[in-house]
Amino acid sequence: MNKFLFALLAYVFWITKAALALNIPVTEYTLDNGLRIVVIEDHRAPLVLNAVVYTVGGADESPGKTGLAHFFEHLMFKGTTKYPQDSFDRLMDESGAERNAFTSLDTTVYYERADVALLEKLIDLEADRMQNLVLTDGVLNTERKVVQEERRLRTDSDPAGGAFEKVSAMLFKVHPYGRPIVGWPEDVATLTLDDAMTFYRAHYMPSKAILLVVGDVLPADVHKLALKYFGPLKNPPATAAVQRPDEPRHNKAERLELDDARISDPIFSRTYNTGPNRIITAREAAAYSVLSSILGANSQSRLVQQLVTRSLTASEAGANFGGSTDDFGLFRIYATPRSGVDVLDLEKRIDAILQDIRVNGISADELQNAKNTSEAKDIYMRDNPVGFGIAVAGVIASGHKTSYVDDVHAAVLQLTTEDIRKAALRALDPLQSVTLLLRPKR
Amino acid sequence: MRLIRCSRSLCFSDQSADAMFNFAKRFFVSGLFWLLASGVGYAFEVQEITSAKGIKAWLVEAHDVPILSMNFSFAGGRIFEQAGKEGSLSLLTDMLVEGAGDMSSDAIKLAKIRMSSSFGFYNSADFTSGYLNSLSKNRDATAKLLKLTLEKPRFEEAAFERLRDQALQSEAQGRVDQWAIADEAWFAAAFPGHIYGRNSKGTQASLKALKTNDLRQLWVLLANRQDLRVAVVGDITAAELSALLDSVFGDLPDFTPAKAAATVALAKGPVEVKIKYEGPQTVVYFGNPSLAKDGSEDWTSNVLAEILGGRASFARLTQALREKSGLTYGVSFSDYSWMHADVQLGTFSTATETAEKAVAVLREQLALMARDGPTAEELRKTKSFINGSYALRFSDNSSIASELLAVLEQGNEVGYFRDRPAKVNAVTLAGVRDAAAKLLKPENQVVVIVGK
Repeated sequence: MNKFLFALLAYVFWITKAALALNIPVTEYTLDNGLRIVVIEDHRAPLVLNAVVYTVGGADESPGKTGLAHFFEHLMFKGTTKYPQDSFDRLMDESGAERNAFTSLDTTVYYERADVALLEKLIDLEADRMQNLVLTDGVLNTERKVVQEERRLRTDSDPAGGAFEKVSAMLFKVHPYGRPIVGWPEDVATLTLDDAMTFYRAHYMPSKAILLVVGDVLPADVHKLALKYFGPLKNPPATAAVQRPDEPRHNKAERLELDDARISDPIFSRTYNTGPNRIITAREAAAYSVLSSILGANSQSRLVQQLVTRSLTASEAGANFGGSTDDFGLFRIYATPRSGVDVLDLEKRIDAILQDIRVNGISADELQNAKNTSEAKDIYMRDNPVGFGIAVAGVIASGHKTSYVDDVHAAVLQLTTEDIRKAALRALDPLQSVTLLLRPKR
Repeated sequence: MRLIRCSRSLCFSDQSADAMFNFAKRFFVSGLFWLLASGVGYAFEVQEITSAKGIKAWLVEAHDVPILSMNFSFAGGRIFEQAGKEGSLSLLTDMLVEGAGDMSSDAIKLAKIRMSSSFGFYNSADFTSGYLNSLSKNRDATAKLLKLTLEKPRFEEAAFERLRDQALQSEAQGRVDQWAIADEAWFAAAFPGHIYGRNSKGTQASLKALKTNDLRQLWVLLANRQDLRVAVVGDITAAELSALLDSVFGDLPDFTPAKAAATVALAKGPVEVKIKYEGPQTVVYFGNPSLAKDGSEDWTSNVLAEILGGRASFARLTQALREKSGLTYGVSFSDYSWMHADVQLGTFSTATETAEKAVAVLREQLALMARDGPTAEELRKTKSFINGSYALRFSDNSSIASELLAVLEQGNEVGYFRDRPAKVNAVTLAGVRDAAAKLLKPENQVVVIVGK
């Protein structure tokens, strides 16, 4: 790189030093227009993942416009003046590239996996569609049908999918996490071209995006390309952001009992709102994660051992903690009773297991196994830099520094059994839970 | 005597002839090939290893990360299940991880967790397969557990009863799940009387009649070191792998399993099965015979399926059923070469009220393709897509190991990776048109529609 170019780059980019997250080198830059860039090198194959993470998701929609973030994600593939849909598709198809997108409560992510030789074109395409999308009513109305089919497939045709939509609405009566990402059918049916374009102008801009590039690349080369294509983009004047209303703490445990002819055995689940995610420390986040692992992540975890292996009351049981959401964490316990076992008896046993961990905590042996697993994940993650990159981008989108990934990892190794007991007391508060009993309709 | 064909990573030119010979006695390495991607050549080394005990494996050395991924399979899957014992192979593969030798189920599971290792088993109609993932530092200890599992599975009654109950529940759920109903009905209609037409989960009656001894007998038919495919990717040298292969598989019985099923043709069509189901959508399974491959690596029918309903956005069914009409969220159509049948099979779902229209669009597209075949431009784009997209399967160790095993299971030699682009490019427009006319005609169609 010549001196002039280096000086220019140093001026235009705010260059942070390359960090080592979980021993994986991560290089970060920020353009003048606020676009954040994350580069992770992986030189094992001449491939690249190019992704743009927008810090807007299903929880950023206005009331009555549910499903808009996800609907708009579909519309982002419909082309621009420079790259009409045909030419975008042609380039992707003929090179065999994979491209897709997904919408979460807090982010919308677009990505392509391709031969690294295509990187410049991919960055050009993403920069172009950040602000130059061309939509018509005809395109929107056809895609609306596709989105409606997606809802029928994932929610309406899936008993568990439909039930969990109701559970979310009970957990979050005020906060938008209670709305389905795919949208309520009546809202999706009435979304307009104007809604789409207003949403686009309010949320799709460099200062609300992260460019993530993982693969056989050099950070300096990515920076040059980002500067060339994203650098000239301006942020439109700020519009009043939709504030996410807070969810007050609930004062009673809630239950939802449903029956459905499309299942043959009951399903039990209990979901806890673990409280505000933004303010918890790395150590608390680590404790929730380890708690879910000890309760139900593998064959030796408590729910599996006590319900499936020993007492033979469940055919399946587990737990997981969704800590990657911005505003509130979700801790979920689930189980299916073994044939002939009353789901209410199973629930009593689960209550006892949860009460035991709240009162007595865990053993040193359980904690050490969880720490070993966490250390090994560090090594396995190095074989999956794409997954790691998406996780890092999510952490940044949530407003954390990249080092948060390391902080949580380091915190796992520092945890004590008392940390886990306290985490259980905080996370598994019955008053903040919704219990679902989904039974077969006879 | 040159017994070792030298690869870049394994050269012994500075060793004495004796040392070479001794080394060669232990194992053989041959067949170094480049994997070509996107028309741009890049190095990808697949070594063929033959251990001292004759176990063969494909190896991709990758020392960047201290982990190992191994996938393996024995020839023979559900085709080995006897009539009345349907579901026994699924139970067998589940039971294999439930204790072996002097170690209880819990002891093995706990050891795996402590080492952050995993191994397990799964099956298809044609193969019984397994995988192993391990950190380098725990590789030998994990391999020892796998060896014990392969050689001395316990098949204890308590675990059997527990897993059989789970299998019974899973089978019951399959009878009320719309996609599972469609899947089972399509295979039953397409392969009446053949093992491919049976429900892989078994039936309530067959599962209830099973005994642990049935699993033992089935495992005796399957576990062998002769008809075994192994693919390994990761932090291991050829010499180390050779020793590991002998250690894990070397003491398995040395026989080739008998062929358990006959080649079968798809049912004479047209077949249309309609099954009533209360739900907001209708699920459609549609398929027809494909060209018999007989190990020829002929890509013609694959290219046809890709043009019609593959992953590229220009695929005709995607365009007609999703992009232009919004009738479905997604439609797929693929070419399958199983050990005893070659078929093309596709699926989609659509709102109940649009089901009739969607099926009419499907039939129209099939007829159009059967009549005119694809255009030259579609053929060109599809070849480009198939060759370009292949590289994406080689991004990480476990994905590479899976792909290597899939290539092995299709009976290919290691030269497959070198020759694949040329074989795809050798497909002609006339060939695809002939295939379309022959395969997609209405009388070949087996269609299952599940909905209101």
